[in-house]
Amino acid sequence: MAEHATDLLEVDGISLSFSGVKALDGVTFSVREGEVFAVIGPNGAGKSSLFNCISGVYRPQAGSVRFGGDELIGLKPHRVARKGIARTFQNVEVFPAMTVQENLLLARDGFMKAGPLSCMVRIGRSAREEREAVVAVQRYAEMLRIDHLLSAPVGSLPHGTQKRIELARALAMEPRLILLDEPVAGMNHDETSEMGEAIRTVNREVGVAILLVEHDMTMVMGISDRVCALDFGQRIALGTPAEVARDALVVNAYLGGAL
Amino acid sequence: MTLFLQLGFQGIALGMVYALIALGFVIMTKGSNTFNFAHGEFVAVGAYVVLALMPHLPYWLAFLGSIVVTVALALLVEATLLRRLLDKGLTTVVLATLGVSIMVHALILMVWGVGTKGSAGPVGSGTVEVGGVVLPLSGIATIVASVIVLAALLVFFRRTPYGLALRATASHQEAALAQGIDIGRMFALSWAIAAVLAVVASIFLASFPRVVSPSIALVALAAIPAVVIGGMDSLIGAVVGGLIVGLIQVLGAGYLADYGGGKLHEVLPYVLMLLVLVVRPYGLFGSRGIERV
Repeated sequence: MAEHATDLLEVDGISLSFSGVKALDGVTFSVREGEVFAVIGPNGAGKSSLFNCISGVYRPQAGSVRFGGDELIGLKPHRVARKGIARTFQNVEVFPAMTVQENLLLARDGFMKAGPLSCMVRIGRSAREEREAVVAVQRYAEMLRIDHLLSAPVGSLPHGTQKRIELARALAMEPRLILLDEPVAGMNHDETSEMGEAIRTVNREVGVAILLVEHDMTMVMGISDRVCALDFGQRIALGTPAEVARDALVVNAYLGGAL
Repeated sequence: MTLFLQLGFQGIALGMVYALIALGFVIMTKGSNTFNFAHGEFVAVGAYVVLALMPHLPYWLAFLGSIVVTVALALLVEATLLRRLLDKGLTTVVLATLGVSIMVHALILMVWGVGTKGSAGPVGSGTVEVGGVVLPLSGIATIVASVIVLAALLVFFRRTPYGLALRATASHQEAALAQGIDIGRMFALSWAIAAVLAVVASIFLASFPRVVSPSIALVALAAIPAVVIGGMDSLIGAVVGGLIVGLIQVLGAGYLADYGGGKLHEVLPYVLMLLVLVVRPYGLFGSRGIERV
């Protein structure tokens, strides 16, 4: 499975410890082109550490992370982003003082190829770049039904909407992989199913692969192609949602061995 | 009334100069999480380089030359010192900028000596009379140029990708990184912008009736009360704070000349600064979160 021909992201035996405490212990899995892949696990299982290793925030002591065949370990976070990996954060990290459109424009790849002075006078290359960026941003905003809010400052909008804006911003980068860190954290039932729907739509219409970390099991099982379960930094199961849900180790990890 | 209008005009002109310097402080604070005490010396370097180039070049080329030198100095300090100290904490960085400030000051004394020099302004000592009020051309030039620079800055921050990227970096560094923004470049850009503003401010700070002297950096530091009064993280606050400080200084100098040996006006901005720190530590326009800085 790890050597699948269309593997986009290959996480191979990564280990990370913080002053002796093992956060990740030889975790291996791979995400295929265009699939929705979920990582589940109880609190402290190492899910966030895993994300931070992929996005370049942490540097694991062992193992490798390859994306489209290129090694990511050692790259700074902005370099990882430029390789085509977008991400959202557990606590929505939008830029509250900016409008929805500005948030999305910011993420455009190659948005800053023209120099700062030519951007000021808005001629030639920078004017063309901006027109193209505005059109693309409009498209992603429509996909996530925030196009009517483009000129609103993000800080004034409700939490659920901000989460969709963050997802739209990730899309605006036109990445090959989006990392979603607990996309439905703090959401009620309706917002959760709406978000699940949005993730599916994005995956279907754009064909971008999605790697998500989530607590909400119903959501994960409903939208994922494959699921990987972590416990104490180790992979304890990997398979289709149905397979993982039946796995004795997973049940045990979630219910603390009470059964 | 004529005196009041005359002083008010001069106060606004001086206030605009403080506003440009204060904006530099705020942009560096927001863009790279530092407070650069060497900024006053950047202003001094700007003025001295213009003065040194003026006899040899047309004025506008001397001005551009000074921008090149001052921006280069700012980028050098940012890249060699600040970027390396960032993870050592704010106090370390601030003390390092204080060290740089003293070094640059010494360098200026070594190169140009301790004496006062001529004016580095773009216009001379001429005046125009408008309805009985005598306005110096240098004041008019200061206000016109500052307004143009402020407008350009507004366009830059609101309408260009670089402006957006800088605002994103100031808002949340990790999220900015996730958008592919090289925040190291943004730190450098914020220092470069501050240096450009310092040079613009310097030629007007050294305009009639003032001249270039080693104490120009100290005068420039009156922008610090402007920053505190306006709010450490507010661009509008920097402009309003600058105008308040300029007006208090000039009106104070005009009306309170008989008290405190004619030096009272120099203290007033700092009195107001301390008052603001006690009553409203985040300034008139700052956000509350900035208090901990």
